[in-house]
Amino acid sequence: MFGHYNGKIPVLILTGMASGLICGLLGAGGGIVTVFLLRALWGERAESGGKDIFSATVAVMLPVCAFSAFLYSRTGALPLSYVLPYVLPAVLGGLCGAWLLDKIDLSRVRLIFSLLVLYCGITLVARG
Amino acid sequence: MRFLLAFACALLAGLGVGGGGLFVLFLTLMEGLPQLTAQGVNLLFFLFSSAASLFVHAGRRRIPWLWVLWISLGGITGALFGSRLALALTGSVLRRLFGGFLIFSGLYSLWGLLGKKKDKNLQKSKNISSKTLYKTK
Repeated sequence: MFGHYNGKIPVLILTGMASGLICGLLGAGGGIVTVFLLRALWGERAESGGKDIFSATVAVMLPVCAFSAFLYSRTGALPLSYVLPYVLPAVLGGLCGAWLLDKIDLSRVRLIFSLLVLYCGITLVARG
Repeated sequence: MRFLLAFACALLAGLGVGGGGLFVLFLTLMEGLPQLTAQGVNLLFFLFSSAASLFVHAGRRRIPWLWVLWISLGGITGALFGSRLALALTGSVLRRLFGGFLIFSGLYSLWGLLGKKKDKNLQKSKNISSKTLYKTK
């Protein structure tokens, strides 16, 4: 899937712009937009079940999140003292998640996550 | 408790299920942070979490670094507009937008699950029909 490259630069940049816009606006969600657009554009590689797309997305989100965080911090909306307690669980969780990706069936986790997120989303929109 | 919840969100993000949205919810609903601050904290949180995940992914998979470069360039431009827009909006509007994103995220995830179930059923029926064909021969 990732072999052909020529002529795709504008599409790649536009994909990035959409994910960056969401990431900067909502502080989350850039990854899901990137995965959604890459899947829509090039489909999933059957042998990897889309995990290659996900790995590429993680690599993309690193600089995009770093830049967005930099922009937030310049306005004073990001006190570093709030972040420090979460550094260790973030690193440990990230490592464990990536390690487990090839080892477990995620269907049930995804189902619970989807329903929970839907419920929270509807509540937030309704409450305002 | 804080540690466990943050760990669970990073774990979900590392698994590709998407823990970022949940972490923002945790920060706003349980920690009482304003929406914009929670979003900023989530960005930094995800920075550490995705750096750790990438360390594992890069060792296992083929990451198309040239693609990553172009998408990231677009992403940085988009983030510039997105964060400016976030600063211009009120907390209430941001929360509603965030809620809309969560609804999209949940529906997209459910749609993916249904697609996989259909593929599995199709594969099963193909296997059954090829076995029947083999027996009749």
